Amino acid sequence: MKEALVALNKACESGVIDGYAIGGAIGASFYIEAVNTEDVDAFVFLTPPAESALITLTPLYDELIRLGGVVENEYIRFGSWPVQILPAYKPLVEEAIFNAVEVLFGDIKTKVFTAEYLCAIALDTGRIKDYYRVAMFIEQSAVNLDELEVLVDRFELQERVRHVQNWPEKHNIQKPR
Amino acid sequence: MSKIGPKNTTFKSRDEASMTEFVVRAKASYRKASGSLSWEEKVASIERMREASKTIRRARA
Repeated sequence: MKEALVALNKACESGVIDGYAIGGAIGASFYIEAVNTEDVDAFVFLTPPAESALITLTPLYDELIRLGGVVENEYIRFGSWPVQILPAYKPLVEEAIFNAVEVLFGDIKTKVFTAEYLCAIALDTGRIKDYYRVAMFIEQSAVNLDELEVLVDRFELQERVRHVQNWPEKHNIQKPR
Repeated sequence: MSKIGPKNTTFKSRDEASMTEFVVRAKASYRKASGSLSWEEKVASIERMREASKTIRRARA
């Protein structure tokens, strides 16, 4: 995975992307016990070219290929790790990248979503495995529930927390009428 | 890295309660040990899980 992080860091340095952070199961494994996954989710800030308002992944893919990545379907593979590039597509994800924390993967600097944003994005994505991930964060006391509650409230995820089996009673949020 | 797993892996009997107790102990032991793993070590364990999954899928095919 180091190769992928080095390439993403270089893409940041060269200005192809404005920032990135690791999310998904790999991001979650920074905080909780490891769960099997097939890929690395890299959420990126992309700047549209000056002449266009459209955001395109082509310059980033070109740069990552130049740095040793191999395109495979919707992934770009570095070593044994397929990386899925996910543009910041909504305010919750933009905020998550903006508030990501700098960490080390071995000796490589990278950024990972905070536990609270990882859980909020998991709730927003809303698949069974995403609710299970939130439950694991709660079970392993790896998330600040007060901070997560603020995100749940702001991004209107109140309905979603009902699917998290161990969501604490006192954090049951009523949707404002 | 310490070995992950319960110290006592022998059963007095193969009844359901004893097996359940074993699973609970194994999980608790794994959690305790995995809590001290670095991120890099956890990702390495995910890579091993992926390889094991691929082997199982190939065997089933």
